[in-house]
Amino acid sequence: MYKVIFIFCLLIFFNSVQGQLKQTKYALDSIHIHALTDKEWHKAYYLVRLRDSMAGTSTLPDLLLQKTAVFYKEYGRGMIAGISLRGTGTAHTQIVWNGIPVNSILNGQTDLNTFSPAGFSNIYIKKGGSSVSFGSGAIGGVVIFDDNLHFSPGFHLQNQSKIASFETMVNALQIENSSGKFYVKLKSQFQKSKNDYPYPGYQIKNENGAYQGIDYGLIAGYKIHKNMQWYFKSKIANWDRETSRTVYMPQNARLKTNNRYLLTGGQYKKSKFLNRFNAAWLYERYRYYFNKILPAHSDSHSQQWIIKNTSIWRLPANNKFLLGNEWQHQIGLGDHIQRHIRNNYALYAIWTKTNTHLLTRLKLRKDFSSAQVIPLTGAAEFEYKITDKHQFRGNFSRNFRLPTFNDLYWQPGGNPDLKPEESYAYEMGYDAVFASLSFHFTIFNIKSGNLIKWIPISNDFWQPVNFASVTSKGVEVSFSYKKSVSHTWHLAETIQFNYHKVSNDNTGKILPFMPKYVGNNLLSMHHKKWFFTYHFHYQGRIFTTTSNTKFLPAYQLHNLSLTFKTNRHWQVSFRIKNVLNAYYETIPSRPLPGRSYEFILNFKL
Amino acid sequence: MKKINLLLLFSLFVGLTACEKTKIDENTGAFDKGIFVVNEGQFMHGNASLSFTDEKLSQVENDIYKSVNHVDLGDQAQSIGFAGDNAYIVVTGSNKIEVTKANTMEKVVTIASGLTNPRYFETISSSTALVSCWGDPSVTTDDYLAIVNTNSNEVTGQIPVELGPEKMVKNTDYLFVAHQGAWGTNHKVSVYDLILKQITNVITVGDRPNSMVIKGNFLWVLCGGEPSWTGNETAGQLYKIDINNNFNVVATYDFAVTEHPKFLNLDGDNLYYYLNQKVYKMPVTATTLPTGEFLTYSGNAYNMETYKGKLYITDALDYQQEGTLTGFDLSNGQVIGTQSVGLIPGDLGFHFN
Repeated sequence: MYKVIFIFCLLIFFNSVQGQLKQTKYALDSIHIHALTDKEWHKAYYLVRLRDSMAGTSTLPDLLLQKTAVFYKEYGRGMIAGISLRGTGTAHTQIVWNGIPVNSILNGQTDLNTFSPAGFSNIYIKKGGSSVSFGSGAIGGVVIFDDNLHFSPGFHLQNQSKIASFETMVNALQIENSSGKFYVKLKSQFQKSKNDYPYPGYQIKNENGAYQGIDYGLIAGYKIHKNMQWYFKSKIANWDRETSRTVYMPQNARLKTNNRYLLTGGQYKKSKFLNRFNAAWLYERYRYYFNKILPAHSDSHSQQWIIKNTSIWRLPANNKFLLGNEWQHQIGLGDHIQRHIRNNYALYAIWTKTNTHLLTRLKLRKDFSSAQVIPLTGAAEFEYKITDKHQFRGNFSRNFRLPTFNDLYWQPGGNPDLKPEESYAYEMGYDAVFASLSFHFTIFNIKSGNLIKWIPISNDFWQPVNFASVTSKGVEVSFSYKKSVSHTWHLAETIQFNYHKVSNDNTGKILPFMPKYVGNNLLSMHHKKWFFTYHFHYQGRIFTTTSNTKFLPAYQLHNLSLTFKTNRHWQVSFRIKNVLNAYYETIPSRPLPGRSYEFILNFKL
Repeated sequence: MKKINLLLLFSLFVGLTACEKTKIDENTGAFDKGIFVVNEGQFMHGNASLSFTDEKLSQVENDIYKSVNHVDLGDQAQSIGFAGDNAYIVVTGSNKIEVTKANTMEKVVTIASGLTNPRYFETISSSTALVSCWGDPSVTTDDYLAIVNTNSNEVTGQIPVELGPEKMVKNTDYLFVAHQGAWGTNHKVSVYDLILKQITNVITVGDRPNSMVIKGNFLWVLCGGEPSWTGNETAGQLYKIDINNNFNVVATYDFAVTEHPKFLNLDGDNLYYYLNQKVYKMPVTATTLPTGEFLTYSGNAYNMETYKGKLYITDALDYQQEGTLTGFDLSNGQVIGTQSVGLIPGDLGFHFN
């Protein structure tokens, strides 16, 4: 029993505790559609654009939590972390790096604490099943990270240094240079923390929680002529973390992870045509040391080769057509997985028609995989403008998620007969956007079948099966208000609120580890050289049993920050997190820190 | 704000204790006659608990350790044992034993040092008990029996043993330790001589000995065999060992290669074991394994134990909700009752003082 539990725990470690809604990253899709159609996208879907002066030294969970009302869980500060969109599992959110979905093919997720948000041009969150154009796993939504090429000549340098509680140091450096024809960006983020925060209310500290990580990348682009460019993008992240204890169980383990993403491609663009070609190589490795002082460890790694091509035509009568092709060669192996290879191919098309009031879009996608039969997926979307300022929108989509290599091949337990997960989603929304005020309302329903879950077959053997169908329905409301009180006083306020009810269709019970309510409030004030923010995050209670008898209580977080901009070059910030020193957990028995402090120095050239 | 919170917390706490007091007063002597159910709780969720029920399973009280002591029990409670007036709750994940008054569940002390992955507790004298311990489960050579002084409630020493000590049974002369193998696999039974106070023999048995009983001069060891998921499947085996004759194996009973029995128990002159949702009954005089089952269980047993003419089966269901305890009458195989207990119910402690 214990052994399997242990192995299981390893799996869980990289997965959502509850349902092991693990997912495979897989078919992808046309990345930079928004390069051409950014505006339409932006309006048609509820899309949050993240930008933050402190992004350089932030962790991704920090950033997402501040800007959006997402459900988030973390196995202790700096440990494995994931988010859940629209009541789906943490593996149902696809992380898209420069157009390439990068969720692990081994466990289906991206550990947000090892994915530094530093130095990206844009970070978007796009919720909902219309993410069909990103292929497998994008059931709840996608988080998109872009490194754009800036060919206007100039040199930029930015360095951010952070000192924070629990002996935490972060440094993020970014250098950009463009000659007009040649663009290059170098970015790095280094983090180190002793992370020995006390567990509030207990006489114990997070004594096995130290971490250290470096994340760096090189972006280069060359403008061959005015219609054609070549680029190279990379992101390399190496992390070494001890694994936090729980309140009742000490830990002595350590997890080392390595991720390498390399991408090269080119773009050809004319007034009515765009073609983009990408070739990417993704590598990941996990090494888990049960006892950090011993050399013995469990090792697994994967590689992916990806080639994709996207063409977009602007046609007469406001029609637009996109055709994408994509091929993936995936290899996974490790101490618990024999070497397995999977080849996937996807062909997809998107047709958009714009009239004065009505925009319609149709998406179709067919995937072929050497391991699985994947159904035809697609989406139909519309957006109806009542006036300039009001619109209705809606979409219906079918999505899928491939089983991961762990689900299929983990020894013992892997089940090669698993079918892909499938989901049908629809949403309806209303948007009102005025000069100082905006309001968004969305109602959604996602019905997922064949969900993959590791279940006990006997008391010493667990196996993943396609076990249940789950319905997630809910409402998302967001409201923002901007006001310039005087010439020097500016104010902005954003409130977001999500309600989702996620229930097992067979038992009628609420799925464990899924809150019903999540709320977020961000108030910012700007006076001359001073910036002040007040951030409030609410997460409702979470059941921890399938019988809905036990739960983690709801919690509230209050964070404050104050920034002073001395001049064009220098800026200092001070932040207090969890001001009220609230006790909170997102995973049972794993408290997150009480009140803590951050000091950030920002230099820009 | 903090003050208000504290005040609120305080008043809540007072409210809680008040409630609990009345409850316990109503059931005076609360836990002197009945069955303790050790609910393991979910791995690393710190939600292990204890339940208590009567032998007819007519009523159950859950979470009794917490309701009496107002603290959580810990992570992965493995088993319960008794010595003197105390109950010893072995909590594997938290590397500790919670010592409580058996009749009231009031905490006496926590034994927190000298125990690394403790499993089972067995008394060997009026002042001594042994606790099987895995040590660091990723190390195969540091397994031991911890010697616990049950008067001072301290670990006073260690006896190194083979890999993966688990269940223990004893007669007046010997204590037998089954080595199921912890995270690996093993096929040994250690013999601890209660008079010489040392390990005197190591008996080789089948793969993964998971349960033992003693009847007269014979030790019965049920070996589950290697399950198919190991890629090296071996058959389950039942061993009959003569205690008074050099621990010679006097008989082995072989199951089919795909059969992996567990939970060997004794009631009267009959052995009971569990295999694939069925309970089998075998007289100790039998020369072959029984062909037909004694009764069928509709779920998946997580543990099974007999006690004075009754048989109890725990079921962890999906391991993410409260499990069940079901009792059967061994005279007719009929269900006598079933109760919802805690998360992942395992070991049972029969306490009838």
